[in-house]
Amino acid sequence: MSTPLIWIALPLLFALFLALIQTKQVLSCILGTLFAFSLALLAAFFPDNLIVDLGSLTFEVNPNLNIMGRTLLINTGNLPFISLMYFFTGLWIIGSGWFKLSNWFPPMSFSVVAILIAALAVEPFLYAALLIELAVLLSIPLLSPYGEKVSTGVLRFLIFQTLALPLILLSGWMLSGIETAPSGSPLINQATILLVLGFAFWLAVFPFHTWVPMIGQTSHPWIVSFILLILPNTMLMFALMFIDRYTWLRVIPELYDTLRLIGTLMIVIGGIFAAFQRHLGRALGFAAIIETGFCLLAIGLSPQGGMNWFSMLMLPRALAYWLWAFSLSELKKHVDDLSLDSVSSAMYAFPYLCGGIIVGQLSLAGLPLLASFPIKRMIWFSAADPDLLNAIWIFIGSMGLFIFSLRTLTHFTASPGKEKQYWKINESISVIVPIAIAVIVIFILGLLPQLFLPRLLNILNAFDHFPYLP
Amino acid sequence: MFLKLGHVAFILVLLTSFSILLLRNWRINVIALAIQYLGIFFLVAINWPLGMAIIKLVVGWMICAVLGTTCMTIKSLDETEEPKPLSSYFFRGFGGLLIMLIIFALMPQVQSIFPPKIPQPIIKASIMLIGIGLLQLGMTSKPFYVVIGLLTILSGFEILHSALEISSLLAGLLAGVNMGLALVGVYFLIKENNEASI
Repeated sequence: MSTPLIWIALPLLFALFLALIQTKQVLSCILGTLFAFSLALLAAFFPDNLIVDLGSLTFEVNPNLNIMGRTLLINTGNLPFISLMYFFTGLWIIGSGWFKLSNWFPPMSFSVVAILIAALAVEPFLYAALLIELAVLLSIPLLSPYGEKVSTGVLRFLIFQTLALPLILLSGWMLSGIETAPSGSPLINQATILLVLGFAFWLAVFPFHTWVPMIGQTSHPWIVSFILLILPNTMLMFALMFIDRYTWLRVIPELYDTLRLIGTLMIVIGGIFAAFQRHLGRALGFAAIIETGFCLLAIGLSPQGGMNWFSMLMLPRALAYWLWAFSLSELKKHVDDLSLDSVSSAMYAFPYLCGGIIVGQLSLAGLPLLASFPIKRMIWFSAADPDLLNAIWIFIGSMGLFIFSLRTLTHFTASPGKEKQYWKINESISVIVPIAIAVIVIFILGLLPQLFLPRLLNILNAFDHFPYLP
Repeated sequence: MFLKLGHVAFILVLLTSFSILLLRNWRINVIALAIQYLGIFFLVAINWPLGMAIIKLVVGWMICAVLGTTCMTIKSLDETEEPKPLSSYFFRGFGGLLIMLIIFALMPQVQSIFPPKIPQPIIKASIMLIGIGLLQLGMTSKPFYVVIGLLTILSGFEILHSALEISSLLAGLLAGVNMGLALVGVYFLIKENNEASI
């Protein structure tokens, strides 16, 4: 028995099983959710020494699995992130039961997550780029289901993600040469440029971000939110593996300045564009760009402790995405499209759905009392320390999503005529309960962050060289 | 032997990639892609053992077979291929020529980045395929041609990477990615056909 077998091979086999029963959507959802949460719990409470003690039976779990001369390695340091990934998968699979999604969502989501975990576990770790590409290819049928037109956004998603692959693999070859090269070698600059460009494609950094709002508009919000949560998280962890492994990269002082600059740029651009959006799905895309910006900013603030905020932001972000996407997907059943004009006065008919959307947006925007606020507050303060102007730009970017939330609220509560509107609850109890639970959890995380969020710091156990100091 | 064939393979790759860029007919594109994979096989075989290099050829031809048979079953594909104005051929041809000129002009600088042991045809063919593939992506929004463009770019990269690293796992994973891309292309084709029939 080995850890890669438990958290990679077993989920892939389970995905195969789910594919066989995909016509039974409810059963597939229930089994998928239970299995995902089981894997998450197992990863969260697995013994640090990898020795499982079951009464009289004791056995040691091997952290390695050899395949074709290469190794998949999952040690205890990786388990907190794996736990979180399967927790998110469970949350999204359980939610998929509410919507008319492709029957393939549970098996595909399991496969995507298992392959992404394999990407983080493979040694030499540069092969991860290929596995990430496979995960991207698997997510295409989810984003562009059968019976719907192939959108430009999906094509751009495929193009940009595929273009990153050669860049990352080539930079990997250069990096292996740098370890023996002198510090002034031109190879360092070339490898850094390729690496930055590769990650820019992957993480939808400006100007390669155009596909994000496009798929937000054309694809189902539930799928979009899942992909925009899982893929950037894994890619950012992969980027941190680079920083962690290569000393020369870690000690470049300009690296952190550059990351802060790129992060700020993404927050500002995402925020400004979000403020002027007229489509709730597109705004979700821009919110994802802002969140990636915050992640890069937090990594850039690593010398000030930014890595802690990077890890602690994962859960509040996931909850906000979940709430926003759940409410949006449910609202989509009742309106023609998700443009602001189409959802005018929706609050009077669907108060819980509209409330869920607004709370999800405001939580991402970092409104006090909501889940993201305690962490984002720390990021704002830390960003102001090295550069006050930087903090002002971040504030402007953050205000973008806040302004969009206010615009959404204005449209939701608008009266179409002079007649007085009366409130009516059209949502069923099966929709109200999950929204209410998500809102309560978001408030609890915002009010009592010290109870839950510090546990997420264990994600950083996967890296040996923290804190990063240039 | 394959080193001597390198220049021939480069010309083969150049002509096929250029015809893929220039001509928008799925039959010509699939045939050109199959010949292109033959050239790629010759170039990869310079550095890789024959047994491993042949993976590229087998996978490449499998991709062509998968794309070709799918296109054959879709009747609407022929109907939508309307005759293009002459100017569009000129435009694409001019773009391709420009890419070729840039690549030949920048070749000394590009070559200095890589180890001197890498033969020139490999670098030239690789950069040419990447350049033409990128141009192809910039000039079309049709899923079939986008996928062919991506396959061309990946082929260019694979030629270069074969001279830098020999790994069976890498070869296997790259074959998986190429096949995956082809299957995505097939998926797009079937989807579009379904919409057209509706």
